[in-house]
Amino acid sequence: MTDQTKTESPINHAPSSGFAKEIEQEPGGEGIMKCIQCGMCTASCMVASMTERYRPRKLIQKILLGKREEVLTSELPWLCMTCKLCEERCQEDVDLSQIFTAVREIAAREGYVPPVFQNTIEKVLEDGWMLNDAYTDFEEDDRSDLGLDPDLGWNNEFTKKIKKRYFKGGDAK
Amino acid sequence: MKEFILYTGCTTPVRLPAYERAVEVVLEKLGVKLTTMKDANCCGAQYIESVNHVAYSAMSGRILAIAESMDMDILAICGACSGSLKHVKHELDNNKELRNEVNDILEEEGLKYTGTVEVKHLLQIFREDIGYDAIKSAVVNPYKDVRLAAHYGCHVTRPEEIVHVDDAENPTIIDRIIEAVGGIPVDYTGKTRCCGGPLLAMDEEVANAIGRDKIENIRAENADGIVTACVFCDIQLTQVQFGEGSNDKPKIPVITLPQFLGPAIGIDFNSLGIHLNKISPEAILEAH
Amino acid sequence: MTKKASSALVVGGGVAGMQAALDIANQGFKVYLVERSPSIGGRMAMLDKTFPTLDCSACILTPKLSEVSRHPNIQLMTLSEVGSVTGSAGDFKVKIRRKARYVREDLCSGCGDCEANCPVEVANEFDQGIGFRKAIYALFPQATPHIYTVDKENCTDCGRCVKVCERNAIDMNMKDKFVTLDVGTIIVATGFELFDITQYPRLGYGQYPNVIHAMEFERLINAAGPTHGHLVRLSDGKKPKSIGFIQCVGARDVQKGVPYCSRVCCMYSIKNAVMALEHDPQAEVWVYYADIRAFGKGFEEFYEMAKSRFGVRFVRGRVAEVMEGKASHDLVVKVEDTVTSKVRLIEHDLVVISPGVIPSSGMDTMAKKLGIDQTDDGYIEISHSFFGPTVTKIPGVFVCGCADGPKDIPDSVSAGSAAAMKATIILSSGGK
Repeated sequence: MTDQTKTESPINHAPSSGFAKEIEQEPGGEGIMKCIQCGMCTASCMVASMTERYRPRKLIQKILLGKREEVLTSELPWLCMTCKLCEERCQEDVDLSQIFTAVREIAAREGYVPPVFQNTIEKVLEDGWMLNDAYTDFEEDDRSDLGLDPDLGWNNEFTKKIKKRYFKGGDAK
Repeated sequence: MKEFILYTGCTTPVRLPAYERAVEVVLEKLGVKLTTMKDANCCGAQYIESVNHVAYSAMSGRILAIAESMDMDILAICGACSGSLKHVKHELDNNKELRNEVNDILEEEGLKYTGTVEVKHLLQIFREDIGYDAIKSAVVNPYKDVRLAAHYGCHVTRPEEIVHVDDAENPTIIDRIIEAVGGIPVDYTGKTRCCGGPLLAMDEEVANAIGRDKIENIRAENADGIVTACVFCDIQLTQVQFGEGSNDKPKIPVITLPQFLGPAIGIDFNSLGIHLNKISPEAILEAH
Repeated sequence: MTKKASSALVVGGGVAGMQAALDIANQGFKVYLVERSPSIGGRMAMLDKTFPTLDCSACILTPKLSEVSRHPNIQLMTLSEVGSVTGSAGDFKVKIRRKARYVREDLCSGCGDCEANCPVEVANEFDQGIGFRKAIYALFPQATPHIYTVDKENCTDCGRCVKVCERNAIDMNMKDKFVTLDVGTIIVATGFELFDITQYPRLGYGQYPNVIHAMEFERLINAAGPTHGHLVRLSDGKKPKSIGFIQCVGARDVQKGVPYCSRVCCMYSIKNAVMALEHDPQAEVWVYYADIRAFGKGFEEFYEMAKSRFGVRFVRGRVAEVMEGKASHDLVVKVEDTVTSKVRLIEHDLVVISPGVIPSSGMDTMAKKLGIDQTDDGYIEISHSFFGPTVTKIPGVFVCGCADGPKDIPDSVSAGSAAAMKATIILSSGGK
């Protein structure tokens, strides 16, 4: 008869990857292991109040459970408004918004960025600022009428440098 | 006269130029001189911030370094910019490696970040550099019987330990200014909640539901208007009252803090760009 | 045995301090029991019922109050505070400030004529500010010693009490007195107070009249309280039909400087929830929690009984916000039910916040005076949780009750006896 205590348990309760530890190393991610899933964050979150699909508590739980691929390819981390109401109230001092930002960065590194973010990023890097396309004659006139300089003087050399260094094959960290 | 370098951010110059102008004229009247930063770049909030934190630090870092080169503290009038600049300043001050990396790129332009300049949001200027007493003294045309709901903005006030603008859980700066000029500040459910603006990109429907919820909470207190301190919040709280999903209830005027303060201290409507406000605040501004 | 080494000082007249005093006194030693309020009894005197037995708190406490006051070996010094402390184990010299009561302890019979004739009403601290008391008052009906006290700050010097007192016991010219005690050991039993929950503006305490805290609830359901035991809303005096209890406020909160678990709140809240249903079986009672810590003897059974027999509803989710309907002063709780993942807005007409406990005010000063250490959370540091749970770093100075950490009544009483033992070991050996 085999010794039952020596056979492996068929159910593995350990996190399925080191994802939580990976996040723990990111700035702002230090507190993630402290989460006790109390729901304060979700109760505070206005996105959670208005849509059933987003529950910051559950997203943290997915990270703790090591569901790396699921989280990185999901749109959920991109739904956080970074309003930080959750961070203000979390009694374990878990910085959810910063954790989700770290998740976004890892997702971006691995090639997953929602199109709307991608488009805006490309515009900013190209133009130096966000609303180049939106600045038409009408807006120029409004500014002149108010006595404001219609020439906004945005610099795009720098962002082009940034693009070269950090976005085209350069090492992101 | 106190002097600051004004960092407008991407949005204000294009979508709310009246806010920019109002800030300039009101602050000048109250003894604060502004020089608009030229040759600036986007602070990197939300977008670059989400995908590469070194690139983000460099973008906000450049703004900080430009101010440093001109030896002036920065005034930020957008919540996101204020939050970014303060957050990146905090990181650069405490992370030598990151600072060196950023200075490496800045060096090509002859810029350097050493941490000598401060970043302030508009509300801090009012509280710290001008003061409530000075505001009261400057009032020539006080308001009367007008109820106003203050909306502070998430990135303006949180996280408190980094931005140090106001008590994040119970902010009062705007309310005190409203009171100083004769208005009646009104509390409402969910005062510190988000306007929904940051979610517009990913889910406009939910973002607007969040904004409308705020409007209805304010409406429940019979407020005559909403006073804002962030360009993004101002635009969002205005536009949720129009278009799909909005209701037939009367629109509540949304007005930036300097535009509200201006008439009380004797500045004419034109200089404040009042005619550009999408929902006319004239009823409020004429309540004397 | 020298006279010096045969007395003990107990600082704090709550249940732990009283137990310590009794145990020392019953061994034949003299005990000075110093209490800064006008009466002994502490927090337990404020409670209505205790968990998990639902004993009437006053019923089990008052016999102790009598025992202490009558004990030939116990000298009660109420309205008194510890000044300086010098010396060492076996030979401490403690200066006590006996604050002026303006009523002669040797003459007052506790008849109450003065109180009845006093024209001044002020908020009653014992009733958590809900009820009123007079400027000449006794803390509660069984206050011990049963001697009245004048609140000089609010007294208008009208002189009516002086006139009406048959024994001429009132002396408005009294001054604070100082006495020096020679004692062999000192026991710190200074108890606790509640975390200041106005630090949570999002929960509405202090802004919305129908958001109260657990001790206010305790006074409302107490028959000797400001509403004669009727549980009513403070905004309109109506009976609440739906009550919400909010847990972990001012406890287990890293950001508010109280990371530790307050130990008693889960149980006292379940007790309060059950009491709310005892007062009105038709009411709906909800408890919002992160964990239910029902660790002691009979606690889990009490929790089960609350659920199955009384129908208390438990929601696992910490409350983010309490909102108010301005006209009705009714409340809405915003919470995520983490079991169903639903974000809910639940209506109540009364919300009771369960504050965590913190060391009594003045703990820092007390610790410095005695030369003992405090832990990061401000409680007195004990030498070892296994071998010296009542022992401090200074020989001869012991601690019991909530002064070294949150405790319920049974644990406080045990600690009182334990500290008494440590004290009398020193007293018996002549101070070595």
